[in-house]
Amino acid sequence: MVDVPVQEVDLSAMVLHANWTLGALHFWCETSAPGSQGSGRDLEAGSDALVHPFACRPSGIIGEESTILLRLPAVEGRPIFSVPMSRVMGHDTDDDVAAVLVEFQVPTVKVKAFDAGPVLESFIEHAEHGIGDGGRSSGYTIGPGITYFVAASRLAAHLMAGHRVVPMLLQDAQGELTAAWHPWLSDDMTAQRVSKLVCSMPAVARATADEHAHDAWSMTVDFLAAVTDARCRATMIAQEMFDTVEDADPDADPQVAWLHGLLDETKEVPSVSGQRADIARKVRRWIAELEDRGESSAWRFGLRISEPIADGLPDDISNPDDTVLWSMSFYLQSVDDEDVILRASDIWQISRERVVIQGLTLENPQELLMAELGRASRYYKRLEEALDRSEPIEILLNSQEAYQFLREIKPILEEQGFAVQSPPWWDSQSGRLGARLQIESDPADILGDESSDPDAAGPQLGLNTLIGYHWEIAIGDTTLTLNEFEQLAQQNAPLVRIGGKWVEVRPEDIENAIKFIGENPGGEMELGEAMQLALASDAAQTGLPVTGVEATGWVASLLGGDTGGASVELPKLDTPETFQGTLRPYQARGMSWMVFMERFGFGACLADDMGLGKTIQLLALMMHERIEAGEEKVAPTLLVVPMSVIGNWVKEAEKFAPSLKVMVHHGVDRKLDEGFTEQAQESDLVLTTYALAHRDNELINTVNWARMVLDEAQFIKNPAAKQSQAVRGINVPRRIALTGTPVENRLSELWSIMDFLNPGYLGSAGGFRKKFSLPIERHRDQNKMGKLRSMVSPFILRRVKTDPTVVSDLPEKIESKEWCALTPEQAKLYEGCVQRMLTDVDESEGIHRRGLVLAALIKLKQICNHPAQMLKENDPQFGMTIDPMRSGKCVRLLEQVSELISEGEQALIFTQFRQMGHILSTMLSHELGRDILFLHGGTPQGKRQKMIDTFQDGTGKNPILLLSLKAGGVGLNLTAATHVFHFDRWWNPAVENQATDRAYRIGQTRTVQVHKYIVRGTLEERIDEMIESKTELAENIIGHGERWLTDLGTDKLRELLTLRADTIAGDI
Amino acid sequence: MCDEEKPNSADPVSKKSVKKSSKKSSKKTTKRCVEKSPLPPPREDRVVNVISKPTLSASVPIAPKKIKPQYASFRSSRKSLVNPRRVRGGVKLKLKAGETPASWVTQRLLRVAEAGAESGIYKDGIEYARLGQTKRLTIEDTLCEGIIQGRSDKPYTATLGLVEFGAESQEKIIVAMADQVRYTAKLLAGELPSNIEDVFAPLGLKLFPAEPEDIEPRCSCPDWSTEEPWCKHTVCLTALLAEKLGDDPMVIFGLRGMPGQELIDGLRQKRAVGVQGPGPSPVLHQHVPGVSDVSSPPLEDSIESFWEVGPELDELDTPISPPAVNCVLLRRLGPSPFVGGQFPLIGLMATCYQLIGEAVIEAEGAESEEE
Repeated sequence: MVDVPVQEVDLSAMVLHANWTLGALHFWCETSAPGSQGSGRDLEAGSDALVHPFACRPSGIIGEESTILLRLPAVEGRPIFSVPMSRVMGHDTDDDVAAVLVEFQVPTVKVKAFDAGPVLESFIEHAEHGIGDGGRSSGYTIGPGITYFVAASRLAAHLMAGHRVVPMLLQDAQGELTAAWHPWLSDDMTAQRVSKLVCSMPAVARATADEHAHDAWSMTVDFLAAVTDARCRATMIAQEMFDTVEDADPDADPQVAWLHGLLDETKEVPSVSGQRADIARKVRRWIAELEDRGESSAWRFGLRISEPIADGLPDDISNPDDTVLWSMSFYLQSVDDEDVILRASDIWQISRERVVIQGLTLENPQELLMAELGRASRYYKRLEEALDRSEPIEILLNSQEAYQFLREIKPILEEQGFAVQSPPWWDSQSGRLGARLQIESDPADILGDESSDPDAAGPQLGLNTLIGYHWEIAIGDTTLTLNEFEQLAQQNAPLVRIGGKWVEVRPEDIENAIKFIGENPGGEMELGEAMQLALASDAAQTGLPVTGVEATGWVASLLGGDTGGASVELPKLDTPETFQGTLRPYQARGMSWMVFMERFGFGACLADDMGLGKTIQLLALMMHERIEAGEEKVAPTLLVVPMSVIGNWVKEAEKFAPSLKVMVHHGVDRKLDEGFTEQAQESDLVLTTYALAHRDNELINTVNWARMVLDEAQFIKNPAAKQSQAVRGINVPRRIALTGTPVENRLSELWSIMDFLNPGYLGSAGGFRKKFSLPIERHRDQNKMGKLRSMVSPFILRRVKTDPTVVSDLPEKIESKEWCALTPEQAKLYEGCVQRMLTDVDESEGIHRRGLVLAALIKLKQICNHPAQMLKENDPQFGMTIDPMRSGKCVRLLEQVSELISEGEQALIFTQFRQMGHILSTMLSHELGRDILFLHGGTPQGKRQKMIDTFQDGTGKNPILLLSLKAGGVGLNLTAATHVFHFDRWWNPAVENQATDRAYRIGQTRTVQVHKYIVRGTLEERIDEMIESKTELAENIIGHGERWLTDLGTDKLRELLTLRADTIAGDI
Repeated sequence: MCDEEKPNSADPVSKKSVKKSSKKSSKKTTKRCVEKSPLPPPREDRVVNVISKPTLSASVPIAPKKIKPQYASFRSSRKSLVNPRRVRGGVKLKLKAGETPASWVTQRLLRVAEAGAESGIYKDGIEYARLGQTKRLTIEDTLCEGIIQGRSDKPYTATLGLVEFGAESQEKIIVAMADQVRYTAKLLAGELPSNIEDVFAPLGLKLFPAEPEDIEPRCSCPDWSTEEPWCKHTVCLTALLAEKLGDDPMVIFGLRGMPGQELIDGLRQKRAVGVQGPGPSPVLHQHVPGVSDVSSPPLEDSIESFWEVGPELDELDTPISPPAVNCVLLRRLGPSPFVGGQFPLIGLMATCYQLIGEAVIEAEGAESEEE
């Protein structure tokens, strides 16, 4: 039945799906192989639908076993793989086979509404902590249905937390009444959210055949209502709310009957049949009032509250008595164009029943005004006074009333569809009493030479430094003196004039302020603590809103401007003299920032975009430090990197900082005794990998380091991982992290990196998760996100290529070489191939010899790409995925590609081998969980154009386009790409340049980065040397490819092709 | 002054109902208050750009003092052509000359009258409707009746009859509609789906008249005959009915012998029985414009994007935080719907809201401070 042999498919491939039907959430699992229940039609007696051959009940979910019917896309009666499954399997999803919907029986585990949320979250939880594999660490890949219902259940929680539920009454066909808690969805803000949710519903989530008839709205509302009721009811039961109505008689009071259905486990509303219609009608009308938006959909009624005219009012603190009146005037406002306003005073002058204002028609303005005034008076009784007048224009309020209106009535009226115009200071930071933190620190020569600093030997400041502080009571930016504050407290009025401005002074604010100042007299505290208080505290915590922080001295420089770490004001140091090259201005700023951060003892994260030269900035920092130290030996820097970039660092250091003594601690023959300590101590830069930082931890701790630097610091994103803990345990005075990913958006990464840089600053991992990760990641809480940003931004410097300050410094094209290493497997294959060839060519001549050499050269190139290419392991028919870890180039490619995708950029990847293109396509699709476009010589013209359009369409949905060098060479315009990868080298740079120009051409407005992949020590490095040397020989070979090589003598060949021993990237 | 219309402000509950009913009645009734002093002329104003054009609208304002004399300003070339005895406060066609009705229902009925009547008679009939010659308009059970004043002393009585749907047809209609979620949802909410006729056509039925033969007009005037049933008065009545149906299309079900409430009850029952047994249905179906009134594309049309979650989801934020205003919905709802009830429903609800909100915030682990 199934033509895929079981042993050849990835058994771990499981995609989890969820469907809502008949009041329960059904989980089912799509596998890549037939389920154990086999086939047949007997899953559910009575159903003649086919049994889904690849579906099974997921394990690890507590619930009842069930079977549901789903209509799913199928070809020839067999369900096709879901998109996530295809990606896991590395299949091309761009199938031209037309699928049709077929009904299948699907075995499920069903979960009740109350448990739906927690169960969904637990899967997402696992997925979030998976490592770059599309969330498969729990064994499951998350399907689109799960994503959808997770979002829906979060929306339900959001509505419940915000009191946006209504008690509902339901009636069945027999007229029996039940009650339930329903979410209220019709208000503007909620409606927008619901609209986003429903519009995004994947078809699979509504593939159930039930009463909702595949209708997204109906199904979503049913789910939201069920989840809401289950959770609200559980709370009512837990709080024993039923006790409150137990003694009341439901027959005598329909309210009690209704409450019976809302507060107890049973939803029944006890009622006699004669009353039901009446009860239902009353409840219906009552709730329908929430929907009452008035008579007109084109015009809304507005109230404008204006502060008393200041004439004659004293300017100092004063409590305007009741003789000072606020006016509340009425107007009509166009819904379509909110600038079109018709004041009541004008409306009463109109003698016509229809007016046209700026093209907008208003029928019977006077009637509308009166009707809406009447409607508004339902929510604000004071307006009834206006209804008694013949031509009401406004009413007058005293300060107390104005405050009560602004605080309590305004939000209600706004929700009910009225417009309320309040004075600009209302609800603004500048109009409310709060506390400001004042930090005093010494003015310091922040970048000056260290001789002026007596303790220059090491950083002595940092977040643990005690700084002097005190709190001030302020309104907006205006600090109040004690005298002013006391005066304010005596006024006992909610709206007060201070310094000619109106401010809101809540009575509780005064109390809290007195309490707060009493408890926080000022003094000294740790800087980290102060920053947390100033930047991320809640009013709930302090009792008083913290409206800002002001600092003097070096702390001011740390806090910078609004953008925190941008450090615009820091003086810029010049490129160190000994540095071979010139720093671009933004690179010099980056270096200066690191100097500043280190000087004051802060760990710093340089998070510039890929290609902006983080390596160079760090090397420059080290050169600067050595110049500053003069004759003195500077302790070595420990640099922890992923294995894939060791070569790159070595090459870059050779080029830009040749005077640095670089030591690579890596490989089987690395030093493991005192030899290591000695050599390390004498070096300037010691490179090692994350794996060895853990394994050789003790050894590494024997060295007296100047600093530790983590490159690709996102490697420690899992705080519990041994490598992360090992790295954090290394004793160093200064810490720097380099990463190109937008670290602020990945919270587990962010915490890990920050905790490495400035231990303790963000609190414990658990506390951080509760305070920030959950609200931000689950619920996209912007407020929390803002607080977190302001806390971490002083420690992160991130420039992107589009920053105006950077873009002017950048050339249009940046070319860089990515030095990769061979894995042991590759090295073995490579050496074997070279040896065989050398033996063979010795014994042959002429054309035969040339043929042998050429064949071997091709093989060597293939081995450099991936062993699987040379061994011809991949057969696209099976869609088997090839392990990227077997190739140094593939590992590096994946790292770089994930990074650029996370930055929202697109890339072209060129290879000269179509076969390698297939391997990469499958591999990238599997690893990134995305469809990969692959254009090669065999791509038909129609499909070719479609691919190009897809790539260029601006959505960024298909960020990667693979091209075979020849197919993609000419004529294409691919300016959506800002990165170009040459996965293997071509002898002729002109061909490469031509390919590069697909992205770097007219219409390209951004900087294009070109990455040329070269495996160190191999043929590829020789080719590169050849091209770079620009010698006569090089010029000769250009355009002739490998042919010249075939004429070389065996010794020459050996010299050229033999692998250098130090270039293999072992695991150790 | 029309004080009798003024709501009693002492009791907010009774006032609400009074206001509501007064609004409703204002559309139908012809009761009017007479203005005591004319308004000052329109003032030139920067903001207001009033197009000075006589209107024919006759809706009764809520604010009873603001009635303007209609006839004094009325000038029309049509006036000379029809010359009936004038009626004060008659039911008028709101539609102005040259305007296209907003509702397709209105358009359709007007076309039926236009097709049935001779063109001169049609024009006169419409003019009668504009002038407000109809003293009374009633729609009771399946009959639409108008008392219309012509040139003679006594007004004529005109009626419009429609074919009633029999019990069998009604059953079929309910079954057909219950099959379609979007019809049900809209009808339950008191709205008419725009493609409603698609349900009737396969059954050989029409909901709204489409041809003159679909209506049976009668009139007591001398011009009326069974051969020529379309006189000025029946045209006038049709026009008024057309506008009425445009405002409240559910009325058509009553004229067809199946009152709206019966239809809704039937639908509710059918739907419930048809799918999952007698399932309860909320007494109020919620609306989200652009979402609840749009039905999803058929599953067959979604095969290409079957597994795709829409990009809108990335923009969905669901922060967990206590509300800015506690129990804001309860505050908007006002006092309990059960006026005589002794139990402090609202107070208890407020407690429930607090408990629900706190429980969710606690469960979502989003406390502002973990200590």
